[in-house]
Amino acid sequence: MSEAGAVLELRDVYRTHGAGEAAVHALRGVSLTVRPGELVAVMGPSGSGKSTLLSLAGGLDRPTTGEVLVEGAALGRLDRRELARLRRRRVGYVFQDLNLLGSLTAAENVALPLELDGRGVRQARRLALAALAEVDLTGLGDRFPDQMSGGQQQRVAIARALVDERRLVLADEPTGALDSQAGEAVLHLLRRRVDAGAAGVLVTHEARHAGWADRVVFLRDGVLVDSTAPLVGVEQLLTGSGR
Amino acid sequence: MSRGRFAGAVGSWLVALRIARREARRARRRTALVLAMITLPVLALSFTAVSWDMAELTRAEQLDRRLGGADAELRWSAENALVQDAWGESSWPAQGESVPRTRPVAAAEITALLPAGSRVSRVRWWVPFEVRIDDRNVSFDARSLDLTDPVARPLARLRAGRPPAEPTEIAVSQRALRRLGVPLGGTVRTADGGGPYRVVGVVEFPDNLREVVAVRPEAPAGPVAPADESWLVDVPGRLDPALVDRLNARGVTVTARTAVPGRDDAAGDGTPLPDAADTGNAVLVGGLGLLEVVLLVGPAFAVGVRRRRRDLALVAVAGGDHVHLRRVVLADGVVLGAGGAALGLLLGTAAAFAGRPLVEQYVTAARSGGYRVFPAALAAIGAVAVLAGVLAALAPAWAAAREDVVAGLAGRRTPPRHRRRWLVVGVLLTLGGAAVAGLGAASTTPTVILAGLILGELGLVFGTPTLIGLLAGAGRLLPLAPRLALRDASRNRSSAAPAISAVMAAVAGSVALGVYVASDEARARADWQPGIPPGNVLLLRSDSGAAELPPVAQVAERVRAVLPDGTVARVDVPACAAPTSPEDYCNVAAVVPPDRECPYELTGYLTADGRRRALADPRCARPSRSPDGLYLPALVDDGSALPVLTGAPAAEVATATWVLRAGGVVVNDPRQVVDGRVAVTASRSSAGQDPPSTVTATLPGYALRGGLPVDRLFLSAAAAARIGLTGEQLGYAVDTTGPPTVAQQERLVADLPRLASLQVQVEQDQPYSDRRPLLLLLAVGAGVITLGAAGVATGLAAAEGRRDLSTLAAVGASPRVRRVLSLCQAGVIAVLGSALGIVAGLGSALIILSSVNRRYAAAWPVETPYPVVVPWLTLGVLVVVPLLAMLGAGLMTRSRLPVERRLE
Repeated sequence: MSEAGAVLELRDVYRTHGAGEAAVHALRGVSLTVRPGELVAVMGPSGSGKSTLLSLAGGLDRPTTGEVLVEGAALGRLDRRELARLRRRRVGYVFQDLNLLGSLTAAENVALPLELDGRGVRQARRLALAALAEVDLTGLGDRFPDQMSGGQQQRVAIARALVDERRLVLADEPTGALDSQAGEAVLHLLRRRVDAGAAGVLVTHEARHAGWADRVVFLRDGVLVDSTAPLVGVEQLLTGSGR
Repeated sequence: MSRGRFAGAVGSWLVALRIARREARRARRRTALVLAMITLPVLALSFTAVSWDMAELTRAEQLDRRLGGADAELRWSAENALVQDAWGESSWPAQGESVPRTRPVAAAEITALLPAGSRVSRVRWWVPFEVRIDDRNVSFDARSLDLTDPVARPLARLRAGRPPAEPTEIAVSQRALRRLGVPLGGTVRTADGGGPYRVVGVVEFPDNLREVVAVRPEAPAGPVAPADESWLVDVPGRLDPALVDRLNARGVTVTARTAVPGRDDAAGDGTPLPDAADTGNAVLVGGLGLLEVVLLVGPAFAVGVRRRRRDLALVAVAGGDHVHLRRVVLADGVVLGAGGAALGLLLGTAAAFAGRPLVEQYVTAARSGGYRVFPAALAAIGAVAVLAGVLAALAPAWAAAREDVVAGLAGRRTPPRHRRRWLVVGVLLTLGGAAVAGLGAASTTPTVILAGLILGELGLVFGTPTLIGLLAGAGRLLPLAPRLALRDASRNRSSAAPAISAVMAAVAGSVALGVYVASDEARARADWQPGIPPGNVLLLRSDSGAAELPPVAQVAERVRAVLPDGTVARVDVPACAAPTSPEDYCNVAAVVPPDRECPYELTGYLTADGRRRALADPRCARPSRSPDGLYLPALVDDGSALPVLTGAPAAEVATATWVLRAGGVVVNDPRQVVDGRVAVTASRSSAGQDPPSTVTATLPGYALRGGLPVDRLFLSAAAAARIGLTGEQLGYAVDTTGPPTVAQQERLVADLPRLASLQVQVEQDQPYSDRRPLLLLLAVGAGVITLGAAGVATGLAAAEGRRDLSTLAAVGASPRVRRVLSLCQAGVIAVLGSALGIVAGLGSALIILSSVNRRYAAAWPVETPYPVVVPWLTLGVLVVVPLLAMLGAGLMTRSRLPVERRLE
């Protein structure tokens, strides 16, 4: 039974790649709950399983054991088509860079999940332009990604992650390829959306970015080693000397 | 499909097509490559379709060419009443048997049948017109018509000069003018001494652009049957159907500009259905071509998918499921297929319009009809091109939908998995294809053979990826560059396998056809039976036989001027003695006694058991047969022509000569000789005599056992006389003691006709067929595909391997490495494809030929089996081509190693 009101819930999730001696344990017994209006930052060293956690949360990957629930729906029980529908309607993703399809304009990139979902081109475009306006990109809808700066591209990605009524935003190092000012702007947008009622998971390795989150969880060797309010002993936790 | 799902499908197709369109613009080189490979065959096909459609005349165009300025064309073909169809294309007697009209038709007779004020003009579409040029008689297509008459004038276009107005004037086509070698205004004489004719005009008949001569209707033209001449008529007012009825009642057929009302209009029922076997073969050959295009284009799509791994993963992240991902890649096929189709159709149609004069001049030798396209064919070609694009994108699309999204996002590649089921499918298809081809060969059904070969090739296509994987594993002992090339091919199997398969398919087809053609030629050579010893020459009279031929000594003198060791003998054939009319015809044959005759008919059906018994019966093992070369079944001779015509050993010639001089006969079939005597039957056909009269005589006879095993009967003059025959000189036989050279043959051809009307015929030791150009063409076709596939795959592999090359540069690899790597990459594609193709081609040919031979072994009458001949010319080219591909790849690759600045 899912925790009441949780948008994302991971229950004792294990993810192992390969088998036998070559097995790599990406996540080991991770449990995490994210509620509406909550932004959770996931931190940890490289290879600690942050991106795996995000992939599982978005239904791009399946846990070896354990359960992942999005708005109460157990992803393990959904087939590939249903998972894709979930991503089209409920989940938004933002990556570090190269988030956009180069052959689609900004508006078309934002409208992509809507069009794939069968919305009419006009309606999808209207919603996309509204989402772009929300991330301060009014008037840039017909530009192609290679005609935009890195920060603008990242904001387009956020607009796509937020377009329509998406309840879960998963951001994997969304500021990694940006300068600090652009990075801050992106996080501000993310925060704003979460405050409007969505749930968010932000993977980052920068402590100051984690400061935008309501809660920070730390992963080390696939294990959730701590869950705390932001900016408390972050450096120690990251270097593994905190506990 | 629910409304929501339908909307989803439409939406995702729209997105996919939009992405594909823009991607095509972004990846310009790849787009150009795919477009070229789709456009070229579409261009060729649409050029052919449009050219064919323009050359295929409409009925109105056909009638324009046939009727000129006339209202109708009449042909007086029967003496009794007839019924005709609506267009005068076929007619049949109104009652009883047709009585053909043989009496010449006079203009006045025709005019008498027509309303007052009608005009008629006679056209003979073919009359003999032979001119002696460079010591040879050259026959021209000649027409007898009055080009000054407004009724006939539109039949030809006047290019220069004027139409002939006098019987001694002619007009000729441009080609005929060149061939005649005279200027406008010059004169020519016909070979029979007719003329001189003055060339007064250059004309063009739109239905025949070859060497055509137009003579006046009054010029002597020899006998022409009334059915072969047309009367163009111009009647006052409209052509009345009642007039057609009246003309039909007199045995005249009418072709008018409009259909005669109330008559059968068979042509109006549409074009007849094409032959099912031809259609099947065309579909299969087209399918093979389609497979080739798909295999050649496939690698480009596969590389496109690999380069867009992250884009596809992003689509998945945005909610695209496997169906959406497949559509994104398939849309590439749709867009590029449609683009290639549009470009090919446009260029093909433009080329057909622009190249129309050349096609008219050199291909159809006739002016085409109006400028028009062939919408149905063009639509079909376009659809097939789009289908080719989609099919080429199918495997990459399938692979794209199965890619691991997380790996795609991370820029990692999912290693290709060995899929045992594809190997199993491949092996099953190959074995099934071989069985089907064998069955087809055994029942001599080309469509089934072709279907089997295509199935087999498909099987090899499915099996190729596994083979590459195995080879890559075995390559660990190789030096760096070939090892890398093999591993690259294995890692990039989705692009390497189709390229290798494309080469394999082309080479296999070329080798299989090559083996068949070479074996067929060897069989035809083994089967060839010359009629006289090869190299010996027959000088045959070419006139009607009225003039006396010169004596042997005179001819021998001329012959020895060219062939110093040549000996000449007179050749006489039996003819009716004392004929009662020119139509009398006599035939003679030696009789095989019934108890020695093969009891099985050669043309009738035999059961399997009957065939076995026939094959085992010694009476059916014929010692001689009809020749394929010069045919002289019966001769009248005193023994002087016998050695020249038979090549028999001297001892047998001596005996045979003795028998002939003693009034006997000589044969080649020992079954015909019973107790030293041969029964000979002569039959005589005379006009009005049915059945022919026959005379049989039993004469002293001798059977030749040496020399050429051809059916032959030599009669002495006395023997001929016994059965009512006499010898009539056919010409001379020359014993050349060795095949004359081409120069000697040309001198004979030039010299001897000056002495008399003689044709020179040299007996060949093998049939006139040189398949080497065809074999070379097959090899070159496969070679071009090999070079193309190797080039495409190597270029794509080079683009893919930039990062590896950067790494190589970073660890100190010399610049030469890149060249050697490219060379090896081309080598993997070309060598592997060629080797597989050669094996597959030889295997296919072996299966087919052995199946045919198995059937022939039990066939009646006996069939010569096919020897298996390897076409070394084809194989030589196919072995050299991969080396060329490697060399080309090595030379065309820049040796500077790239520096990867940024991961895309």
